[in-house]
Amino acid sequence: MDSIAEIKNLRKTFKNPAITAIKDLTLSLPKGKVIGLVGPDGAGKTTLIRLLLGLLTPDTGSISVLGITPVTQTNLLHQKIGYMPQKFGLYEDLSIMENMNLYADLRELTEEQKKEQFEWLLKFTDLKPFTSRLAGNLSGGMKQKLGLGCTLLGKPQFLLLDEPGVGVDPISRRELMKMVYSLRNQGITVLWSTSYLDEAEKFDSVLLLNNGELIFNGLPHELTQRVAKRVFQTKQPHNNPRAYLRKIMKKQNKLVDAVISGQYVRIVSKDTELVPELAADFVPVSPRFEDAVIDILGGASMQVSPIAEKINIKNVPDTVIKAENLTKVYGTFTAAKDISFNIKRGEIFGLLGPNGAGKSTTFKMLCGLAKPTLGNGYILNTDMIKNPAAARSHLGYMAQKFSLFATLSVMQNLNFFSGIYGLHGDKKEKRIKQMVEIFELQPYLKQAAGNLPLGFKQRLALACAIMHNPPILFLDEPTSGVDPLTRREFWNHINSMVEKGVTVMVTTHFMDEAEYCDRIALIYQGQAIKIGTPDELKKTGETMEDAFIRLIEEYNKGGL
Amino acid sequence: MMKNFVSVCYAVWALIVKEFQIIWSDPKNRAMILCPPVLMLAIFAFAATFEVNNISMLIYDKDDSQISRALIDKLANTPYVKHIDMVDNPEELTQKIDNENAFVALTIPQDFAKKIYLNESPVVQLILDGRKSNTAQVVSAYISYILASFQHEIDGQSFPEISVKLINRNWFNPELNYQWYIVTSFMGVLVTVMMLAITALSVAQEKELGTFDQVLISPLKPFQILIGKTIPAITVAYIDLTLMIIAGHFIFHIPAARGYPMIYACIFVFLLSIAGIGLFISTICQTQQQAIFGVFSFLAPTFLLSGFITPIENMPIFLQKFSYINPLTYFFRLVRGLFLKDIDNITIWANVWPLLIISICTLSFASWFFNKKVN
Repeated sequence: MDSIAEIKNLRKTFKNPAITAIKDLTLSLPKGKVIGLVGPDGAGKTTLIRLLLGLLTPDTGSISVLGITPVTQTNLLHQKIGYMPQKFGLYEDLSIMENMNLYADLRELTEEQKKEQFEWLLKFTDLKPFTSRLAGNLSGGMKQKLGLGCTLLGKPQFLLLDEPGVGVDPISRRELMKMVYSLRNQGITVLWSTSYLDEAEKFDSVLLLNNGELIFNGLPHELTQRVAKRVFQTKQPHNNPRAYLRKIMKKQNKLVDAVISGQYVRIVSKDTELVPELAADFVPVSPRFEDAVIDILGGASMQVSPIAEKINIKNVPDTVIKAENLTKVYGTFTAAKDISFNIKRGEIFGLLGPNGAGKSTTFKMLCGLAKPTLGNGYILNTDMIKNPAAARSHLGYMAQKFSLFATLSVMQNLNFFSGIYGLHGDKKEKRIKQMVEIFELQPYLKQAAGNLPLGFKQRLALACAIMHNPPILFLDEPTSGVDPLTRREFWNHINSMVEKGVTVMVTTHFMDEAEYCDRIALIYQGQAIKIGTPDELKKTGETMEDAFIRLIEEYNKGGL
Repeated sequence: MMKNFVSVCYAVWALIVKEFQIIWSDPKNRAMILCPPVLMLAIFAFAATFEVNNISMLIYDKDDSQISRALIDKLANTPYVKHIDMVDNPEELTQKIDNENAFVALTIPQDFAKKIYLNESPVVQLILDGRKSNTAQVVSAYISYILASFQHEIDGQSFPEISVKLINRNWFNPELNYQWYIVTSFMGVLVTVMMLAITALSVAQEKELGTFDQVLISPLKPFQILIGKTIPAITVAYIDLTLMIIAGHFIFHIPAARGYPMIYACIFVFLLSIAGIGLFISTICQTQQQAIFGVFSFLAPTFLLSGFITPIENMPIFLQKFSYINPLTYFFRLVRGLFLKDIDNITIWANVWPLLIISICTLSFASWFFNKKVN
């Protein structure tokens, strides 16, 4: 088989912090395929891409891309490949056309080439009707399409995509995937790095990196085979799947993974035979790629989060969050229209929806970052408009990218976040001590938050959000771009808090996370088009992603 | 209620502590605070020795006495004067200054020696080319110094002070003075830049990081968040100011005519007004880049219309009006007056009340706008 890139005995280390990002990697990338690059955070995915591009110099070993040595013949290489970094450098204040012109000029295309390629790209990306729109006003999905389009200028033979799906909704991700496959059919090779493992399942071939080492290289379903007959799901729906999950996690040491899926619990066992007490409750189901990845990485932690013992939620009414006809109008644009729902005590409530559909606006109105044009929100019966400060004092908030002070130490961050909620003296000391214990932050206290490993960053962010013991947690894409093991750990903490009566409102683009929610509001075109449990949203046999796309398509048809 | 108040105080205190920790945790930030005063001194120390070298001087000696010739000798023997041209009529003097043949002209009056013998203050006239205003200030300071030291040298006796009269021509810089002028003005420039950097840029940086949302979601009220940004900025401005005052005192020997408590108190009002502007810029900017543009588009006209570069009286009338709402106008007047002139309370108040009004306006506008943005 022809290869597009050859890597031999590649090694790359970094100083400060001293890490070996790639350890003795030998690899051949096949031509004309869509190759997935997966692995936990810090596995070396971005480093590998940057090495292939000639943006980093290897310590030892050799790389050849399209027969070119990246570091010495960088310019020649860059004419033949396309690269789309995590955040593609679109100029937000320029229109689609201006952005494309700019990138065409950077690629030194002639006017004729431009004309021909623009025509094709605009058709390919479906962006033709919007050429004069500013890139800053595009939705997340359209931005990624435009980014991909700009990457394709100059007709590269090899495309490198670094997590193009982060923060992008399933519909846009599916479209992006479709575009990439049509490119492959035209003979372009694609290397696609991702943390969405359902995405990786569809690739022609997958590379799995862990700690700088290649631990799997082959067809996705070959990897999935390793957990064949070891994946099970409960026969019956449970009223409280979280309690059940907790129960089996405590008792069983033969589990690799256990997650909630709607009202069911899904497990990956170490053996094909389940222990008798579980065997009665569970039936085998078909394995997923993600199950296999978790398995090959050594399994998720089955430790029950110690957080629950430290939480004490008192005097909370049954209805914790109330959204009443929330409407937000920006100029002539209605971002949210008449959105109403109640969230009960101890519920995980998910806001799902495509980018730009009004999910963030709804979220912001309920946590006081945006004032509704009409309607109102209530947090523990406190009026969000009349008394925003009091309403906000009941909330813990954790945002995308964790929003910590990167240059401050872990301790300084803890001090700050406890401080702004008015904690002081012994109470503060005690609470910080608790957080340090629960999240095992002791060894990192003096380290700058920005230098923490991803998992610890996430722990710290969660610790900061729950410092003041809030009965309500608002999580805004809390796991965006985070690998599955770190996400499991995060949800383990969340689940155990919810069991103690904490109420959670969450937005996410991970459809498996949507399954952890008790109820979901699907927001589209500024409206809550469907509210219900995950099982109510799904039709039999459907995945959450299928349901998501179907519901939106149904709405579109009904709307026409 | 009391308990609530204590909590709020702790929360604001946490904001303030965080701000200092952030400034201190980043070596770049530390450098940003400590370098400008040091740099300023380096630049001005350099300017003082460099710019005054090689000047050509005109002397119109109407007296032509032993003492006046001794004075000319002394001037000729200083390393800063390249050569001295003697002229014998005022027309030639004017012409040579106009044509830039000479940079400075000294006219010694006919009664120069006589007055010294009678123990009266003789008045000499110094004409400087005000087009190069910085050099003119340094040269005038330097010649004043030579004249002052001259009086002690003749016969070892104490002589009356020679006073310098500065001729004011329309293209001449009307501001009498020294390096002191620049150093005191620079205090204003530096604290303004510092205040804006900390208020406007730090908010924009937090917006980029997403931490600003975290703060907004806390139970703190908008004005409390503003206090949390204002106090660290003012503190840093005071630290810089103190560094400069120390340097000004020991290196440039700037007097503090009105005493430091009054200086610090008056500067506080000025800092408040700038904090309001910085916070306002920060509320309308989403990124640090925008904030930098915001700060500069405020700074450029503000400096130009403050009387720092061009005297306000020389501006077109419609531009002069802007200087009345410019906090720097009052600040420059105050600082020069407080440091150099021992101005009276009435004059201080005349410049403090406009600052107070500007502060109230900018701060309440910033907090109103901030409130509006948050909601």
